[in-house]
Amino acid sequence: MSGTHPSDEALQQYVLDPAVCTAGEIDHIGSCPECQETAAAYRMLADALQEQLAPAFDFDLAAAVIGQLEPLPQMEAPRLRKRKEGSVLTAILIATAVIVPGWLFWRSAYFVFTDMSAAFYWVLLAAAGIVVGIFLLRLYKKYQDVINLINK
Amino acid sequence: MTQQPRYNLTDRQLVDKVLGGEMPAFSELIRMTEGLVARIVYQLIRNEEDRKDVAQDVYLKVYQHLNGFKFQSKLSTWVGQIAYNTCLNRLQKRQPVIYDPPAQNGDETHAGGRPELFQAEDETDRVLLQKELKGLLAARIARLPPIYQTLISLYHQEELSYQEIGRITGLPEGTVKSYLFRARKQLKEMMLAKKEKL
Repeated sequence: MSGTHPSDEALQQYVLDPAVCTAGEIDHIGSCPECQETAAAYRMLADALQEQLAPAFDFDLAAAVIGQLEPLPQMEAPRLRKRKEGSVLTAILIATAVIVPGWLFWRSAYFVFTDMSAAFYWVLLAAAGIVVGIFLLRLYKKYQDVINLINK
Repeated sequence: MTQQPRYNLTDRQLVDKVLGGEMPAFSELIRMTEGLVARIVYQLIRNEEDRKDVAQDVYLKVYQHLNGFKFQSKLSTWVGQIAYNTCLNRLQKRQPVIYDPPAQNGDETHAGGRPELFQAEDETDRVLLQKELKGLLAARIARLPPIYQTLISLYHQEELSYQEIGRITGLPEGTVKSYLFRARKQLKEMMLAKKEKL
């Protein structure tokens, strides 16, 4: 048995999907009474969670919804055709955007990346870092707003 | 859990039938997915009347936007996503309601006085404990933040994968995992605290 106990996360994984645990973790849990007790608690918790009563609507949802619907126009054929046309157009655009500049500038492209000063690379890296940072910050804020809204 | 279809139709066949104007196919779609929608709506919307409105809104949106469904996920996941977003829109429109977790000593008292909460001696004891735990757990879950309740419900009861839950909630898979770990840990700790009190 190894000295350190696996984290709570590892114990949960052990109960839910032992295949993702390392051999060391499985070995430790197999011979550590303390971890076995925690794992047993998580196992019982998982079983009990699975058996919680399912909420159900106390009215006929299908009837209520169907009563409010207008028949849809027949749109399957144009929808598929439109999707196929869109995919072909996208493929052509991507191919054009990659192949044409590649063919025209492939000789000079090499020098763009070899003749630049080191400072330019750092500026480029810093700019990319800032853009990624702003993107991540906005993403984080978006998630926080949603979570706050739900938990309000 | 989401109900099994009465007819063995694939998502594509079902969507094509609905788009072809077959209303019974849409009823079937509702029947197949209303369990999942109920789980989401019940966790996020507290008011009973609002739940009815939201559930109907969800399926009206599903019907209106069905021709835009691209089969990049399961149909049920897509419906779940619409349900989740409809709930968020409803929460945004309404006056803020302060989350009011149930009282500490509510309906958990029937958990009984068993100090050996996780160490059942035999099968009968285990079944008994499991029953007690179910009652205790319902009260404990209701005390978790709604986002944790929703994720627990989707993962453990609806048996969706982390990826599917991520699609429905718009949360990254890592965040879903981490919230679920925290939620389970909180539930386990609440139960252990109860055990120590006994």
